[in-house]
Amino acid sequence: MDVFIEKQDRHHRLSFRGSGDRLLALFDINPETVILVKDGQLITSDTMLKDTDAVRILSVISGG
Amino acid sequence: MRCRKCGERTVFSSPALCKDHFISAFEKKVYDTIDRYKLISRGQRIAVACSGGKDSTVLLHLLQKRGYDVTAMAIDEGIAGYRDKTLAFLRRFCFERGIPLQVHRYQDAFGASLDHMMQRSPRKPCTVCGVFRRYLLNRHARDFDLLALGHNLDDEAQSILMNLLLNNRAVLSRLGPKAGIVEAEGFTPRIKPLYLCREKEVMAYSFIQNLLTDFTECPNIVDSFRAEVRDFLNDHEASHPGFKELLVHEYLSSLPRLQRQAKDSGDLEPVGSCSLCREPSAAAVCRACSLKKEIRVSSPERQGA
Repeated sequence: MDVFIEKQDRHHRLSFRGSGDRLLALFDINPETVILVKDGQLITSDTMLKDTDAVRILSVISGG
Repeated sequence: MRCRKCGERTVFSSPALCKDHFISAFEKKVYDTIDRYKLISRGQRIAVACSGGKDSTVLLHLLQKRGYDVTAMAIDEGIAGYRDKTLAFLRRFCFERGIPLQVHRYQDAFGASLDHMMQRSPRKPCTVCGVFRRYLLNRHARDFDLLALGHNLDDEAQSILMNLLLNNRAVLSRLGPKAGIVEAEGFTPRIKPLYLCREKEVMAYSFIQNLLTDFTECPNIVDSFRAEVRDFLNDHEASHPGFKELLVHEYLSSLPRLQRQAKDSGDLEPVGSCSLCREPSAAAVCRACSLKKEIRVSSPERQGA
């Protein structure tokens, strides 16, 4: 799986199957602070993800 | 998870809604806030305080969509690598939609950028930035009937908690969707149409409607008390879903009492005008002029001078 974390401006490659919630927990990210995007579409964190997916994790927090 | 209205795939989980129902629910929430709290009357001219970030861009989009007379008003503090990027997005956004845009720069008003000021001041950047930004917004919003702010429910929950912790009763009595209970000459009323929208909802709407700029975070935010409170609230929200909404709704139900108490107890100082710049101020010299003297930057131009 390819995971892009916008706040870090960094891609992570990993082997993963499970829900978006589990993915966020893996990276220690509070679900309240991000939205998840797959294939250009907004998804909810209960969505099941598979190894071949590319997921973007976008921060919801204002710039300042 | 399926949309609670139509059974389609959801894009948002609390409440569980598909794309189309999320868009209509979000817009209804904003317009209901405007109507319920009587924030805008037809024909009023509205300056929308814009940063190029998602909140103010969504607000500008929704106010224009409903046919209000809007002008975007941005403050360029001069934060290298941050504000220049968000303003470039805002300029493009306003140009494409035919929205008038005003940009007011610290450099022009005070003779120095925020970055330059911080080289001379031991104060936290957010303190200096907030005072000068409010000063410029208030001064330039005077040509309008209302100043609309993109504050969302998360911002308000942070303000409530921060001022509770600081026991700042006067400020607590002035929060709410229509800010300010003291009417003063030269002070344009502030409204917050996104008041009941969670930051995550605003972000989701912004993404769906393609209103997003690339992520940029102010380099100074890490130093702020607000950031500490924000992180605490988000951590608490994760373990107690609905906490932020509860806090804001409890605050709203207490607001009339807080306003009465503030008036009766004299917590609200009468607003006169600054002896140096003539802007509205409760003190003889306003905070902008005090800071200007402390940091040794140019005097804010006198209004009308």
